[in-house]
Amino acid sequence: MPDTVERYETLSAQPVEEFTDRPESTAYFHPPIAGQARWITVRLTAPQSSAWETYRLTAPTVPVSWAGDVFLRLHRFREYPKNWDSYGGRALTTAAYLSAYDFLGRIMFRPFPKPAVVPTGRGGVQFEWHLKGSHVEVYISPEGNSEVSFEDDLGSEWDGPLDQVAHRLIAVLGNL
Amino acid sequence: MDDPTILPSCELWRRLNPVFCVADESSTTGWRISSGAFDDSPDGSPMSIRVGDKMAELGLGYETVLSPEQAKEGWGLAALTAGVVRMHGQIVYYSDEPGEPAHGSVEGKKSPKVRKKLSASSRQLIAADCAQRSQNR
Repeated sequence: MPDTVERYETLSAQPVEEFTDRPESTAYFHPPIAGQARWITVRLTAPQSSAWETYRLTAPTVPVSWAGDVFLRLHRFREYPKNWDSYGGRALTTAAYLSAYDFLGRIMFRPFPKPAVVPTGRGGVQFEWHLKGSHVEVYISPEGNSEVSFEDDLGSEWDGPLDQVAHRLIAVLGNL
Repeated sequence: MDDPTILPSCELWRRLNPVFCVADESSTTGWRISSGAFDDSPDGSPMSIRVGDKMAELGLGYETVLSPEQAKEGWGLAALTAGVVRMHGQIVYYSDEPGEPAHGSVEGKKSPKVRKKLSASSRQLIAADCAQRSQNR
C-alpha cells in the first residue's frame, strides 16, 4: 500500500459533483457567509509519488433559486419534536444533517428541479424527484450514509451508494 | 415469527403525517406518499401498524386510528396488505402496544428500494391533506 499524502485546497465556485467520480478525492461545499465569495475546500489524497491533478472547471456560481428553501427545511427537521410521526420519530440527526447539507452543495449549482425533502422517523432525510415518469430518491440515513434509488415508468431501475452512482444521478437529474 | 392468521388480504394501517406528501407528476392526485413513511422505529423496533381485520373484529373503524388533533392537522391513513409486505421480505405479527388496539409489527430489512415498493403498493384510506399541508410543492 503506497504512502498517501493529503493536501487541502480552496477553489472558487466549483460544483462538488465534478469530483464525485474520482474515488480518491473528496470535496466539501461551504456556502457564502455574510456575503463572502463561495468557495469549497477540496481534500485530495493520492499516492505520494503521483502528480497532483488540478481541476479548474468553468461552473455556474449562482445557486438555484430553491436552495435556500431546502436549506431552511433541513434546519426545521433538526428541530422536530420527539414523536413527530406518532411512532416515536426523532429529529434529523447531526450526521444526517451534515450529509444532507453536503449533498445540497453538490446539486445546488446545477439547473436541477427542486427536490421534495422529507424527514424519516429514524432521523434520516430523503431528497425526492417524481417527474417525467422518473422517480429518484436520495436517502440519507441517520448515520449520514447516502443511497440513491431510481426507477421509471418504463421499468428501468437501479440503486446504490451515492459515491458509486453519483454520475448516474447527475445524468438523470439533468434530464428532469 | 410471521403470523399466518394475518391473511394476505388483510390490510395493515399506518398513520401518515402530511410531511410525507411529495409532489408526483404521474399521480392522478398530483401527490404521493414518500417511502420515508414506511420505516422502522428509531428505537430499532419494527414498523408499527394496526391489523385491519382485528380492528374490524373489535368493532373499530379506521377513523379511530387518528386522534382528533391529527385529523384536524391533515394526517392520513395508509393501508398495505399483509401479502404485499411479505412479498417484499417482511414478516407480520401482533405486538401489544398500550393504547393501540390490534397493534402489529412489520419486521424485515427495509432498504430504500423496499420502502419505495411498500409506498407504491399502499393506498390511502384517509387521504393526507397534501394540498393544504405539504411544503413540498
